[in-house]
Amino acid sequence: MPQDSNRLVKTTRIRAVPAARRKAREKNIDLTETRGTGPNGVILVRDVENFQSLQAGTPLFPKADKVFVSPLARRLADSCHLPLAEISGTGSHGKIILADVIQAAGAAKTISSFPGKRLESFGQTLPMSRVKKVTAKRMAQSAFTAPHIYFFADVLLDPLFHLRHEILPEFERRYQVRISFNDFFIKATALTIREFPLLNAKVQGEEIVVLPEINIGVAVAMEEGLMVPALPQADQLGLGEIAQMRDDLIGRARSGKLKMEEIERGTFTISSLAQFDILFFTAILNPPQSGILSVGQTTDRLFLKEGQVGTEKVARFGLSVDHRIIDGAMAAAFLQTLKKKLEHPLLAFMQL
Amino acid sequence: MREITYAQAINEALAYNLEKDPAVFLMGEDIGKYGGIFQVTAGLLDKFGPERVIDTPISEAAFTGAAVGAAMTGMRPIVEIMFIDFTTACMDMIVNQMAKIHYMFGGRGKVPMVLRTNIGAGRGAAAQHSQSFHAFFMHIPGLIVVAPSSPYDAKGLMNTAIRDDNPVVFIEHKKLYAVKGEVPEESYTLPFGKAEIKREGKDITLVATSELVNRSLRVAEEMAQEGIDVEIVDPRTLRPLDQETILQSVRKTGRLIVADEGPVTCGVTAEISARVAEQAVEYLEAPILRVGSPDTPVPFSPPLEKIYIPDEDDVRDAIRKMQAYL
Amino acid sequence: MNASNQQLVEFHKTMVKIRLFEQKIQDLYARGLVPGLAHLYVGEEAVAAGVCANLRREDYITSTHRGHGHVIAKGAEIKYMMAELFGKKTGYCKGKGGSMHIADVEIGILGANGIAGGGIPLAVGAGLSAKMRKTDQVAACFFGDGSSNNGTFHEGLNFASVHRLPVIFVCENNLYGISVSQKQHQAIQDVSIRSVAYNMPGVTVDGNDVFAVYEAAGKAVQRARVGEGPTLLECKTYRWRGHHEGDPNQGRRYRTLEEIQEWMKKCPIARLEEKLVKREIITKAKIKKIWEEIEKEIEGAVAFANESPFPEPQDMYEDVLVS
Repeated sequence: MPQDSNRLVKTTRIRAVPAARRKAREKNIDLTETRGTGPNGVILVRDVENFQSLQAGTPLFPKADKVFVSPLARRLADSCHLPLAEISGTGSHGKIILADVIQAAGAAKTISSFPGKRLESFGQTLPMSRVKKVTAKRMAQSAFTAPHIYFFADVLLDPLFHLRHEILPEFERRYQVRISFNDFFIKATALTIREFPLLNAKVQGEEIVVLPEINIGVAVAMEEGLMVPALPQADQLGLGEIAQMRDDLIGRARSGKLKMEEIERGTFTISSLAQFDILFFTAILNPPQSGILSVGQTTDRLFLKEGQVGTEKVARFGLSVDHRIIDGAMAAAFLQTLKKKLEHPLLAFMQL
Repeated sequence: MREITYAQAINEALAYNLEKDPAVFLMGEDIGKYGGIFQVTAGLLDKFGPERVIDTPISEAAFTGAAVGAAMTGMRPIVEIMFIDFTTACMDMIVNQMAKIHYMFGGRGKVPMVLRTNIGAGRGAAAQHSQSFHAFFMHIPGLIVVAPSSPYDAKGLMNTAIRDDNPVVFIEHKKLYAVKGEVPEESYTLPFGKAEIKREGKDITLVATSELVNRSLRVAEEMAQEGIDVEIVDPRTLRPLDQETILQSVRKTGRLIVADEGPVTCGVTAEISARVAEQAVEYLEAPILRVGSPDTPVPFSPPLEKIYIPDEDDVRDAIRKMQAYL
Repeated sequence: MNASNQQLVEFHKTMVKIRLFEQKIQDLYARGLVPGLAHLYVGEEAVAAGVCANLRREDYITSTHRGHGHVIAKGAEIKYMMAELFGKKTGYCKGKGGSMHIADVEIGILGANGIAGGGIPLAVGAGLSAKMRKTDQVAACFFGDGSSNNGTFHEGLNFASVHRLPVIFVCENNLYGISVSQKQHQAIQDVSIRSVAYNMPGVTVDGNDVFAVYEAAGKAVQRARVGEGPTLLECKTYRWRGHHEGDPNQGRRYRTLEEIQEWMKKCPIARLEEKLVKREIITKAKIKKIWEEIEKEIEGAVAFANESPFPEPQDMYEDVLVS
């Protein structure tokens, strides 16, 4: 009787073909974060090749070690002379992250409600991760190269709230995912861009290239930095598809399993700080994009209408654009159109 | 170029050397009048006479040992053992005498002889006439073991074997004897210890021996239609093995299938797999797969024998398994 | 006796050389100075001397695990033998063969053989080769009563007889394999009667009488040389020591002290010396001298062996194949 060699034995060892291991070692890719697509989930060479960090070839994590620890945490532990073996990791797959080292060092705790558990410690000089360094560089480049102009509009969200509330159960049943406000924003933004192609463009030398597809990127905050996976051709996707894709992309962004292509294809970015008490903020363009939408917190606002007092839900949306491509009038018009779509969701999503 | 059969190709090499070198002579059962059970030696008795083509009694030990003794004393005998199964009757002469004399005698005394025999099932010859345990000989230091897969290779390797001063075990295949192929008329030699890439490919390395080479080639053509590109490496010499060619191929493709007609356990496939695992494991993108006979004696009944033999179906199965890693 | 006096003295020298060589090995072995296995020929000297005296340099012999006597009688040099037994690089086989595989193909010694009956087909092959090359070389094949039951014996004799090969099959019947006596391993007493089955002459002689051996072997060699085919020559003899050094009590686990002592009385060297002295071919004093001289030669061989180096580790890989 031939032995079933594919019977999975409970082990903490990662299953990867030898060539994949070698590649992972060479590219400093952590196999624990790599998803295997071979038989019974064994990691193949192509899985390692596909797994990339934010920047092409730049690893998120250094050598796949027996002690799984993020580089920031490692450096802090080293500088505090804390043995890693004595620190318990609370990151994914038991990885030791910065918070764990800080806790172990007995440093003062700060509020950890920021997604990704970013914690800074007073008096500490924290090194920038490689990711952060590059992001910082590009951001600075963007800020100084593209002249930004900012526009804000308050958008009434009651219609969307009602719509969402109504369709939520059916939607979840049908698409196995809860529709989020972001999904509406993505769709509406994409539809609006159709009317304003220059919001989907980039400067190339002395030319303006209008990109062929509308790929809306959603900014995801990570411990190491911001990642912006993009939904391809969002203007042509149904809400269900948008919701599923959004859920998948954000999930994989958080676990570091995005493909490079998924990030690089973005043509416009939506960045939301809605879960914080931030009314509005100015976002810096994600180069080489020409527009970025920022979403602030939804608040209840008192209104007075025809002698009646009531509350309405409102969020302040911000639009930053590259003034080399887009002038104030267009930006304002864009924002106004977007606002209209969001405030009249049925019209917008019926594509009228 | 003209086409002749594998048997004819070997016959030509034998005849050529019998002609050229009076020290060459043949011994074996029924090789003279009968022309050999597979007609490999047909016509040679008539051409060279009973002193050069000797029909022996059924005494493998005697005539194989006699070949050793004759080889040590100036002759270049070529012995035929009718089926590899019968080499067990003269195993001492092969393993303890033929293979070791040169070494045991400190390099003084050599045994320039060729021992021809054949492997392969498929003729309903049952358990004692169908085995392929050529791995036994691959296991013995002091022997050179070759296994040609085509008429062209057979003639060239036989010429080399006869002229070499070392004892050579020459593994033929029953199913190949009637197979035709292009063979030059003139005499030529092929080097020992040099594999040949019978088909170039980039997806999978398939190391195959003897008739498995041809079965694999047929399957590879099919697979090419599906976009799977199989590289077929024919070692030609089993001992010494040209492992560099094999390793190079594996480094290129990252995937290895080894196919040999013998039983898989402790067989030729096991040795090749082990060498690749030792020396190129980091290039492997998939487990090594082996194609061979099952661990049973050769069954008689035709449907069972069909299942027993590692054929195109088995090679195809292995490639399919490998697909998951492509 | 058709051997000249000169030859008889040679016989004596050969036998003394064998005796002293074997006794030296016995001594060295007991002191742990020789590695491996040793199968000593003490008591059987007349067979090797008598047979090989009929052979020319270019004739062949194949020998057994108990081969020192045969190869000395065929002309091997004892210092290279000694070096080989010590496992030294200067030995006949560069130290790679040892006691049971001593060979010098140039003087026709096709090797002592560790396989019982292993040498028989080889000798047949040498005879075949000689016949094919149309020389009048012959091959003498030594084997024991034990091997006379082996397949190779029957196959070899049959093959040699059907092809009329110039082989002398010399069976040294010393009444034992290792521990199994002839009575237990054969239904016959005289191995020579098996010759009938192979249509060749079969002769039995007193193996401890060098004259008898010489004469009978001479006839067989002559037959072979003129193309009349093989002969089976049985020489009845006895080994004084055990099957191998280390065989308890020199084989008294399966033999009796009485039996051994009986045979020691029939010592082939003593018998020859008696005859030599009686016929005034040589004096007792001379005999003593011969023993001393040969002893010195043996000492010299031991010294040579001791001074010789062992093979290097990489030498292990040499000579697996002819390059």
